[in-house]
Amino acid sequence: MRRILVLVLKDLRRRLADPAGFFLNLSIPLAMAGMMALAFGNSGGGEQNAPQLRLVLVDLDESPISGMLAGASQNPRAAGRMAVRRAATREEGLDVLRDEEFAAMLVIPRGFGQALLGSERTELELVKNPSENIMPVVAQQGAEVLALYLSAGARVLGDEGPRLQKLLVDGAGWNDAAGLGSMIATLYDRVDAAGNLLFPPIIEVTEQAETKQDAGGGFNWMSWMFPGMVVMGLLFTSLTQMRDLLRERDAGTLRRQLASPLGAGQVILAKVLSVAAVVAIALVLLLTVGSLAFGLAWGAPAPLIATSALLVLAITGFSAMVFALVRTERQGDAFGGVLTMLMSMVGGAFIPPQILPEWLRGVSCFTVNHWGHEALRALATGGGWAQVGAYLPALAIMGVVFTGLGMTLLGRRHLRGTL
Amino acid sequence: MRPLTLARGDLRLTMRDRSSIFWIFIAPFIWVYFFGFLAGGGDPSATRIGLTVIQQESTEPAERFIEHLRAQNFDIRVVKSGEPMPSGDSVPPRSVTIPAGFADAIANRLKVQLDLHEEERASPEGTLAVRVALHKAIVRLLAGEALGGFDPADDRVGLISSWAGGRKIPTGYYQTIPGNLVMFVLLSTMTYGSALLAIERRNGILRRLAASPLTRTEILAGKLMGRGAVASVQVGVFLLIGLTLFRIDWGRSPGGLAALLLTYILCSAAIGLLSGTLFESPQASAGIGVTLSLIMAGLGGCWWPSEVMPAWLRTASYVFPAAWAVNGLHQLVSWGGSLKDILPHCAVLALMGLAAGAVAVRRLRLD
Amino acid sequence: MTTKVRVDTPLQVLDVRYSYGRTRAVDGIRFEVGRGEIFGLLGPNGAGKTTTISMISGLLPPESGQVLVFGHDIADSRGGARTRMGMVPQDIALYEELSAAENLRFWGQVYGLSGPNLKRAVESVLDQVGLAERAGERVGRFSGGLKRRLNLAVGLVHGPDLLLLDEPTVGIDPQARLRILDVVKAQAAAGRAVLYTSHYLEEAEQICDRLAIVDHGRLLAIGTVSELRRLVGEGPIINIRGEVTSERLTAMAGRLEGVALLSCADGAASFSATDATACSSLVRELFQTGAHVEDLRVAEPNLQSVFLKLTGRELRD
Repeated sequence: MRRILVLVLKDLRRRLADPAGFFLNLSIPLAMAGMMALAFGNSGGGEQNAPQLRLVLVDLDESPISGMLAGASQNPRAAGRMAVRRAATREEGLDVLRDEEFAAMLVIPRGFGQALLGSERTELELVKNPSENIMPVVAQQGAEVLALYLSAGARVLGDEGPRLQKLLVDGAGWNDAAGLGSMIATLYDRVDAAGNLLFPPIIEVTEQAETKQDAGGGFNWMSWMFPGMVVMGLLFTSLTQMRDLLRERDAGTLRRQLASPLGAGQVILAKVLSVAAVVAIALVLLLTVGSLAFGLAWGAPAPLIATSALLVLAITGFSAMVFALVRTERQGDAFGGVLTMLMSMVGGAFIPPQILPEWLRGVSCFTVNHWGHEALRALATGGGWAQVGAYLPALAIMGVVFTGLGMTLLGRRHLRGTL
Repeated sequence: MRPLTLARGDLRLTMRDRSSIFWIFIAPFIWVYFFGFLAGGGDPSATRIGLTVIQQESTEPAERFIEHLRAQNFDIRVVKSGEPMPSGDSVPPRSVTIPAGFADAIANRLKVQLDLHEEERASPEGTLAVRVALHKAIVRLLAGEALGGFDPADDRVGLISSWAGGRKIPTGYYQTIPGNLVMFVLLSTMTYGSALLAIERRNGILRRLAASPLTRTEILAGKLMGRGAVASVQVGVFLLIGLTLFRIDWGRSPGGLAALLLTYILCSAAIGLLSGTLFESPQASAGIGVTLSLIMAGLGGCWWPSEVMPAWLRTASYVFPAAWAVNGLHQLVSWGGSLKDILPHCAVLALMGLAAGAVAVRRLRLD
Repeated sequence: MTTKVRVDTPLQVLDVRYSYGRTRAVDGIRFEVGRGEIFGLLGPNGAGKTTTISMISGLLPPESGQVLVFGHDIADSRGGARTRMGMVPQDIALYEELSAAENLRFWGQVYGLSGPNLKRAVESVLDQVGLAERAGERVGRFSGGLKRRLNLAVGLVHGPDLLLLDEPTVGIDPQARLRILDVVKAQAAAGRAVLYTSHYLEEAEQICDRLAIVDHGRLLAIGTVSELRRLVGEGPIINIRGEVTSERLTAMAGRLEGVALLSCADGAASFSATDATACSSLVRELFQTGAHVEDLRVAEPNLQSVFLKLTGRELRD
C-alpha cells in the first residue's frame, strides 16, 4: 500500500510541477459557464433578466390617440423592458431596424386615430427583423395584445367614438353640456362594466413549472447549467490525466515501474487512484467556483460527499476504459474528446435532456453525464439524500463497472506486452 | 509558389490527424443536426404549440374560452372532468386547468385562477406564446361578457405582421448552420492551426525552414495559407451540408457570400497563426485555442441569438470576428443583402486579420 | 538441458523462448552472468535482445525456460528477484517535471528505501554520476548527456546486485559516454553483475568481460572478446568496396587457400585471411580477375568482423 501511495504522490507532484494542462481542462467549462452567466445572468430566462425589447415606432398618424400610444412606451415600467426609437418614416424605420439591430418596427398608419374613434376598422403594421428570431416574436405577441386591447377599447366607446373624436380632435361640442354629460355617463357605465371584469382581469393565470427551485425559493438557472459543465470538465480532466499512462509507457517510466518489485496490478491501480485524486481536486475547485461566482449551494455535506465520490469513481473508470481501448495518446485524445462532447450533448450539458427525442433520452441514460448532471443539479437546487438517492445507484454501478472493466483490460494489455 | 507547398503540407498534416476527420467533417453535421433539430429544424414556424386544457366544468364560458384558444393556432387537447390524463411524449408539455366554478366566478365578478402547468421539457418560447394566448383568450372572454360578445370579427384594430426582407429567419438550421460554420472555422484554425505551429517549433521544423532557401515572408505566407486552407475546407463542408442535406438558402448574393467567407477565413487563419506564436506547448496552444474559440463563438451569436444578450454585451461582442461574421451571414441570408451590405463586415474582418497577422509576424521566431 | 540453480549467481538465463504471434522472437537463449562480471549482449535490430531483456526484467513471461536472479525465478518470486535488480532502459525513463533528486527519491521509494537510507542513497548516486550540484534542477532542462547519467543513476539508487543496462550510452557525446562507462566499470569492480547491451562494438570490446552475439532470436556465440575474435581466425580482415557480386567472390574465396568470405552486400565485402600470404593472394586475385575495386583496407580482426561472420550483417544494419 505504501508503494502505491508513493506512485500516487509522484503523479500529484508532477501535476503540481506543471499544472497548466490541469487548469486548461477546467478553463473550458468555466469559460462556457461564465459566458452564459454574462449573457443570461444567473437566473437565465427569469423575468428580471429578460432581454430588452428593441422597438422602432413610426407614427404616421400623429393624432392624440397615436400620441398616447407612443407615450405609453415611455412609462417607467415599460421603459425598463423596452427600448423604443422613433422614426419619422417607414424607410427610416427600416434602416434603423437593420443597422441598429432592433427587433421590430411598429407602424401606426395615417388616419389610425380617426378610424379607431370613427368605428372603422384599421390596422397596425409590425415589421420584424429577419435576422433575429426570439425578440421579434415577443414584439408580435405584444402587438397582438395591444391590438386586442385597442379593439376592446373601441368596443367600449361604441357609437360614442365619433363624438369623442370631435371633442378631442376637432375641439367641437364642448359647449353641449347635456350631450357631454350623457356621453360621460354612458362611457362611465360601459367602462365600469368592463373594468369590473378586465382591469385587472378577474381571471388570473398561475404558473407551476416543474423546474426545481433553489433553497431560496427562486430558480437559479446556473443550478441547471453549471452541473453539466462540471461533469464535462471532469471528463476532460480525467481523460488528460489517464493519458499519462500511455505517456509513461512511451517514455519508458512505466516499463521501469513494471520491472520494479511492484506488480502490474499495483501500477495500474496507482494510476487510477492518482487520476481519481486529480479529478477530485478538479471537482472541489469547480464546486467552489460554482458557489463563489454563481451563488450555488451544494446541499448538505453527506450527500455531496457521496455524490462527489461516486462521480469521481465513474468518471475515472470511464477514462480508464477509454485508455484501455486505444493504442496511442492521440487516439485517446481524439476518441475520448469526441465521446465526451457527444455524451455531454445527450447527457444534458447544453440543453435539458427532457426536450430530447425519446430515443436520445434512452441513450442519455447510459452516460455518466446524465446521472452526474442530475445528481449535482439536485444538490444545487437544495436537494438532500431523498433527491440524489435516485441517481447514486446508477453512478455507483457505472463507477464499479467502468473501473473494473478498465483495470481488467489494462491488465490484459500488460500481459500481452502492449502496455 | 513555394508558400503554396508549405500550405499544402500543413493541410495534409492536419487531415492526417485522425481526430480532424471527426472534428472537420463529421462533427459539423452532428452539431447542426442536433441543435437545429432541437430548435425546430427546417421550418419551426410550421410547428404548432400544444396545450392540454383540463376542463373541470362544461359551461358555456368555459367552452367559449377554449374556442378563443383554438382560434390562435394552438394544438389544443381537451381533457374533460373524469377522463384520464394522457401521458407520453406526444402529450403537450403544458396544461391549463379550467376549474370547477369558473362560470359562476365570472358571473359574480369574482377572481378565478387558471393553473398553467409546465413540464421540464417545455421551451421558454412556447411558454411565452402560451401565456400570451391565454391572456388574449381571457381578454376576449371577459370583454365579451362585459360588452355582450367580442369575437375576432368584431375587432376594430387588426395587426399586419411581416418579416422585413422576406427571407429565412435564423431559427432551426438557419441559426445553427451559420453559427456553427463561424465556430468550427475558429476551432479548426485555433486548435489544429496553432498546435501544428507549436509542434513544428518543438520538432525543429521551423528552424529547418528558416535555414532553407525560403524567405521569412514566404514561410509566413505559407503558414498563413496553410491555416486558411484548413479553414476553407471547413467552410466548404458547411456550405456543402447546408446546400445538400439541410437545403439552406445562402442568400441572393454569391459574390457577397464569397467575400464575407474569404475575409473571415483570412481573419481566422491570422488569429490561428497568432495563437500558435503565443504558447510553447502544443497542448497549451490547442487548449487555449478551444477555450478562446468557444468564448468568441458564444458571445458572437453562434450558439444563441445575440438579441437575448444584454445590450452592452451585444455591443462588446463586436470586438470578436465571430460577431461580424454571424451578423454578415444574417445580412446575406435573412435580409437578402448584397455585396454592398456586407462590405463593412468584410473591411472589419480584414482589418482584424491584418492586425492579428502583424502581431503574429512580430512574434513568430523561426530560429 | 538441466541446470543447477545457484543462489550465488546473479543471473541465469535458461533456454528462454518467446513468440509474438507466429514469429519466434527468442529461441532458446541461455547464458549466465557472474558477480563482478560485465556481460555484453550484442545483436542487430530485431535480433531478440529487447525481448530477452524484457523477460529478464520480468516484463514478459517466457513461454518456456527460466530466468533466475540469485536463484529466484523472476516469474515466481517477483519481489525478491526484482529488488536485487536495477534496470536502465534505453529510453530516458525519467519524469521531466521533477528534479533529479525527486526522481531518485521516487525510484528509491519504489524499491523500498526510506528515511536516512534513502537520503544517503540519493546523495551517493548523485555523486557517482556527477550530478550532485544539479540535484534540485528540473530534468526537463537537462541536456541529453545529463539525462543519460541520471537514467543510469535511477537504476543504481537502491544498490542492486544485478544491473541491466540497455544501450545506456546511445546518442550522447564522448565525454558523457566515458563518464557512464566509468560508473559501470566501478559497479562491476564493486562486485555487481552487469548485463550490457550496446550498438557500439568498440565500447563493448572495451568494457565487457564476456559477450554473447544473438540474431534471429538465437545465441550465435558466447565467450570473451579474444575467444570470439578467434572465430574469424588470427589473420587480417580485408574489407573491399566496389562493383562486387556474392557469387563471384564466393567462388574466388573457394579457390584461394586460407581465405574465407565473411560478408558481401551493397557493394561491400569482407574476407578473413589466415595469414599475410593468404591476404596477398586474395589481393592479387582481385586485381588479376579484373574485379572493379574502389577501396581496399586491411585490418586486425575485431568484434565487427566476428559479427559479420556470424550474422552476415553489420551491427547497425
